[in-house]
Amino acid sequence: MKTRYFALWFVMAALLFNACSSQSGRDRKAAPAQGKDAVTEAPSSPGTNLEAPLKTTPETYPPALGKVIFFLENSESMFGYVSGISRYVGVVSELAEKPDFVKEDISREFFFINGDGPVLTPIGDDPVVLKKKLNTAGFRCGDITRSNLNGMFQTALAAAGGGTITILISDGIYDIGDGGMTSLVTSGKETRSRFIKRLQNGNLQTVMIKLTSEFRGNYFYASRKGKIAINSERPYYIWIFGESSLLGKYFPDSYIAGELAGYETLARFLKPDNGDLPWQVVSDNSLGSFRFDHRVKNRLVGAKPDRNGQGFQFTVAVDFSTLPFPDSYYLSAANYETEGKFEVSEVRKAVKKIHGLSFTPTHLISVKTMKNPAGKMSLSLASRIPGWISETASEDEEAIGTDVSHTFGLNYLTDAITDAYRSVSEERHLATFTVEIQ
Amino acid sequence: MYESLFGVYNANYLEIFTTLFDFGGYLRLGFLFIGLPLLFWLLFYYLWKYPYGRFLHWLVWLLASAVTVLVTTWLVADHAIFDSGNQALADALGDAESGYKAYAEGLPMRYALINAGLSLAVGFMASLVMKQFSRIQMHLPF
Repeated sequence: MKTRYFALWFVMAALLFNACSSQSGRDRKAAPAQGKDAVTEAPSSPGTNLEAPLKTTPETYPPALGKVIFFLENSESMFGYVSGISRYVGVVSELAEKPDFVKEDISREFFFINGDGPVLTPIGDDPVVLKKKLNTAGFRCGDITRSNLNGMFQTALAAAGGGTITILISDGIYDIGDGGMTSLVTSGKETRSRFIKRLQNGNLQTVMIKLTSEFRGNYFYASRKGKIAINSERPYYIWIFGESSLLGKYFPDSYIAGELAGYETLARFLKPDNGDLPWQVVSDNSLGSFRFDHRVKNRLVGAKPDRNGQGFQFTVAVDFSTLPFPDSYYLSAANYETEGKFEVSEVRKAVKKIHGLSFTPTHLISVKTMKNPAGKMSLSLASRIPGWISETASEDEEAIGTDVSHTFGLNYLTDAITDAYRSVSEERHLATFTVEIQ
Repeated sequence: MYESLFGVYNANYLEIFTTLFDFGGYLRLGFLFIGLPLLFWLLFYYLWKYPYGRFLHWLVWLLASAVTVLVTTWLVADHAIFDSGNQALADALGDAESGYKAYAEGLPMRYALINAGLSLAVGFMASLVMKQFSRIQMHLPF
């Protein structure tokens, strides 16, 4: 009889003691086969699942900038930009003597590039010599009758990488000869191949900047023979190729927009990596109630919708500082995609300190549902093509005399770059955050 | 248990609860409401030699154990939160705008009251078991 009482007592004590451990702990024991997304070994680390392992910089060993190589297209179609004082000349001069390059004594090399080959004409490594050649007389070298945009890309892409940044400056018009629009399509495909081949050999970010400048010279039709004298504004483009960390450091948006005269807009292309952004669910701007699982990061337990019928909402804090896009991109709810029953309700900048995070978030993304919140919520930052790219492209150059903002066939070029970056990455999104809700 | 059963949780002050979980605070609180009543009733049933103990003695002892658990829990919880050794929590408590300190100051008493209540239940069950093996207080509580 007494033995039975003892046994009863011990069972009760064990039950009470066991009850001190959290609900989540029991949940985890009961569900050992949770998806890899949700399992982590380090409860105090942010976003330590496969979508966002703890790491604060995309490159483990970011290379130091050693050299910048400039390729300036100097086919005859470019002469209009240098026939007199123009913003084009000012921009090239600014880039050649960028204060950072001067301060850090970064080696620079300058080349003219034109012709079918393409033909490279070395200018040397002295920005002063380059500036003396920024005129029609200086441009008249190599094969000015032709330009091979694909060859230029190949040359610039091949030289970029590691500690080297390459800069290609061109009007972005394919020289398709007599091939007509078909040649434009095939040229675009060739561009794509050039990028794919380069990207397969290592990741590279491309910054494409649209600028306008005074243009006084001949415009050579790409879709037919002939030329027309123009004395107005014309767009041109700068492509900068290099490691993301280097482009982020030396070519931030603020520098490009503030220092390059005639700046219109820009786009950055990079291979989605989707594995490096620190992130964590936080309680800011939340509706309903939930608890954070102590053992599995970014798992919410005991989730209940708001009692007043406002639904269920929580916020994901993310550090986007290692991505190169402007704030406006992250702040637009349209740039996020969700899987499951949630939708993005608000995106805002993180302005005050949030305790409980081991990183400093840059943005807070709130997601909401009016349904039962239980299940998985996947939130992704989409990789979208800026609208200006399609708006700048034109398939008709007959009104070029009065058109100051369009570039013939540019969409074939930009589509090619976009397709290339997409094809070399299995990941379609710039970042994905998966939260399990119970 | 404190979070899910008694609702002592606020997602806005995550660092406090993470600290209690990660630094063994919850474990210590659990030990207190089980261990202290057991100790009390061991003394009552096996060391107290007075043969004329009455129900009132038993009740006073039960309340004494609950008060001891209450005070001890308050001290332990206070230490677990305010002297945790977790720098992140210390930073949060030191940030006047965060509201951490104001919220945390009320927590030790909440844990103390919960533990005191639980200790009454544990003590009652323990006494039912222990009386079976006691040679003197076998008639208590009834």
